[in-house]
Amino acid sequence: MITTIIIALRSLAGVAPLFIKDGKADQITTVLNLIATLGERQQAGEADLKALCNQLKEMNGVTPEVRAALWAEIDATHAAIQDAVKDL
Amino acid sequence: MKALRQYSLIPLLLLLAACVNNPLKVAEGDEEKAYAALGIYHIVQLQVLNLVQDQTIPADYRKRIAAAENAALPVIKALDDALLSYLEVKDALAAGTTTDEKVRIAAANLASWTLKAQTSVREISLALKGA
Repeated sequence: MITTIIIALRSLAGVAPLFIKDGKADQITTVLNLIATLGERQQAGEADLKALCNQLKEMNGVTPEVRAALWAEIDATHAAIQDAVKDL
Repeated sequence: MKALRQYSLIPLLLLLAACVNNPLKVAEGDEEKAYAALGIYHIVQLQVLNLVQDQTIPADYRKRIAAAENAALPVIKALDDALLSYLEVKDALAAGTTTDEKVRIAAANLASWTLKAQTSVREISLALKGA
């Protein structure tokens, strides 16, 4: 977690000062919480990308089963996204 | 507005992750590249889902990224259709019922839709930036 935050801080080095230039404690806390949250999300995305890379390394062509499994996930995620915003 | 600026950092982080682990570079051949594009779309979808379910993010921003995901889906479905066609023609070639030329045409069509899918994923990233 700490490593993630450090990586995120380095990545955001040019952007974070925009949020903390006033130097208020609550703003700094907000930014740190935000970076931690973003770090977790980025880590999740990176893990998924790594898993996909590893899967591709082991693949020898696309089988109907692997394609169908991916589509089940795409369709379910799409439905969940649209459901989350339908009443907004 | 402040929250919007804060969450605009996500594409940057996604981009950094993609530099380290690029499934499209790992994929070999047109069908694996197509599958990689489908997989990347799904990973971006998961990021969008994470955000639209976050009640602390402004509603208009959540609606915008959900709309971008919705707009990209037809392209992703077309890519999948092209992938199915390619797989069918390839099987037909193995069975000796079609020609190399038809496989080349199906492969070119598949590569074209893979590129379009990448563009659609970029458009979702633009929506994430709040552009």
